[in-house]
Amino acid sequence: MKMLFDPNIVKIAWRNLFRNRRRTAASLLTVAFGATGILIFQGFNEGIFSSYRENTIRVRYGHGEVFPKGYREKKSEEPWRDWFENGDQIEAALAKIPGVVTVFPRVTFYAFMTKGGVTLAGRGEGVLAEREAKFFSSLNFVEGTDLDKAPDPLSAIILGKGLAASLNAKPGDVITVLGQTVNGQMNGLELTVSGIFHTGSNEFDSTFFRTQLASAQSLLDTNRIEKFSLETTGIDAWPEVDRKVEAAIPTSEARSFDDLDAIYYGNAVNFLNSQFAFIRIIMLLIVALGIFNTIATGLIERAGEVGALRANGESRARLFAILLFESAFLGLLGGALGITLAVAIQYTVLAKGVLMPPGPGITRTFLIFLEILPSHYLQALVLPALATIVASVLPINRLIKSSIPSLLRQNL
Amino acid sequence: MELKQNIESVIEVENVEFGYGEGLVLKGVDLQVKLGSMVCLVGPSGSGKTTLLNVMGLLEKPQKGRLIFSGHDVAKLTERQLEVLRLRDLGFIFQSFFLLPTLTVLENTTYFLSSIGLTRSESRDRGEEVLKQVGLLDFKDKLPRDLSGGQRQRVAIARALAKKPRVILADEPTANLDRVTSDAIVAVFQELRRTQKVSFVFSTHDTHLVSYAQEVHRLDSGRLESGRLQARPGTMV
Repeated sequence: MKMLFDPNIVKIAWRNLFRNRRRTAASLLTVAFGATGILIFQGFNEGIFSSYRENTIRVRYGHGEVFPKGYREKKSEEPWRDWFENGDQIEAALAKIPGVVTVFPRVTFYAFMTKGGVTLAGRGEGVLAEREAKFFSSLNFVEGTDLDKAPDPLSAIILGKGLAASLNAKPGDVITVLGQTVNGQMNGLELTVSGIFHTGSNEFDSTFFRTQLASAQSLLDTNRIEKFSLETTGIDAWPEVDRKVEAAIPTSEARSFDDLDAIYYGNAVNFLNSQFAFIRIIMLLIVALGIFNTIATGLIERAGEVGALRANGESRARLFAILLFESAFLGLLGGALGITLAVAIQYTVLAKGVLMPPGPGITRTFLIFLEILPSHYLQALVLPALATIVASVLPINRLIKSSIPSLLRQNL
Repeated sequence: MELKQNIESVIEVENVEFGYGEGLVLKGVDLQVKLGSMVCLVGPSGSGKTTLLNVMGLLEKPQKGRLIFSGHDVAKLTERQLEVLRLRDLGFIFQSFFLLPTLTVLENTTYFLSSIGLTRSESRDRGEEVLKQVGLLDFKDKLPRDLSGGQRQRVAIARALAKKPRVILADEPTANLDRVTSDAIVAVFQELRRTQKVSFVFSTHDTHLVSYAQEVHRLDSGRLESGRLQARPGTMV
């Protein structure tokens, strides 16, 4: 093993990069374009994840939600029986947990909504509008305003775009909301449409509405709280918050936003990751095939030189190490060049983002910005270098295993 | 592998046959190369000179007969042992020089020295000493592309000599060189033969070079004719 760490091996391999500058440049560009492609595609994917993530967090769930323990798995005709009775205490306890920035108490319920001759079923959510307005900023109002800016917030309602269209409702219209109280009696509220939102999720926008928490509790005739959405100091803070929530409030359980939105966010992430993994393999294959030809040609031209070294006693192992180091340098330099190119593209051509058409189940466009993470740089550096090394093993092996006289004959 | 010290002949070729496919290139060749001798192989193209050099240089194993190199029966050695013998006891010089274009003259000269166990400073000292012998010390930091053909060949000789081998094999070493440069290179050979007992075996078509050899052997169709010829300057070979 000592031989492999002979510094001369590294020195000779490095110098060999500059023996045919044109060929080295061609090889570097092959690797660099591969690295650039991988980095931009991965950054683009991360941008899509980020956009999805932000939409999910800032429209619906926050960074996560806290429920009564076992509530989500339990099937019940009277779910409110499991809701938190001591909402104020739970809210205060949650607010004290390090990493928690804001606590948003909520209740959800189903109700009939009537306007004119049209009656539809919808899914409502009672929220503290003043508190939520600052954080839940991606509702994307297309008409009117949020609940907190309505002239009378307690009698205001906001509707999803699809739901508003079905009811033929616009800001200022009065909607009758009919629901069942926790005691099983029918109850109704007259609410004025204050705004219409468009999150981009077709399913959400077609069925969802929001009222003030107090209005919803009055409709349901309860003071209980179903769940608490949480704003934390960031996504990374969630695991620790999760652990502390369940320690501080043993009757509760916490769920992160990606767990709550496994169908929309989780599936999108899995789908895009699988797609990226496949395309990355293709890109690396293209790099490997492109570089294979260049390396093989370069090595054939050096057959005589290699033969002369072998004739003078150079070992196959040492030659293999020199040539492999050369490929590794080529791969790493190409990767570094590719990263530089990708960053340049990120901050010039793609600086204003890429406008993406609506995805499946989504009804609005997304502006995607490249988000390149530190781990992506490492991948873009290492993977093309590995592809280069793998592609060079075969021609190197073939060269050093050739008989010395045949090597010497090739370059006479 | 043990290095045998007390030997008279560095190479002994005994009734060696070698061929590619069905045809024989060497047919029952016998030859002895003594320490400090200068042996020349002559003959027309295709007569087997290069093949005989390859066999003597441990690049090909005889298919029949026996080859003793530095006291070792080559047939009994592994590939790795042959590699070690070539590294320690053999220097090869070629018509096309085959220097590493990205290494300086000194770096080319000391290329093999770390493999034979010399430290960096020992390598440097040895390299400078050998470059001085071949008259290229002032060029030690130059790249091969900055040298003339003769100077490049002298670097190739220096690279072979730096290992302090027992024998140097040279295939047409002066084929690409002018008369003055050839003379300079032969002078280096002669000096090393006298002072360090290095043996030289070379193939050539150059009658002038032949005139310096102590022994001249003619190969024709794979057979070594008449064993030994005493060369005279100006003799046609």
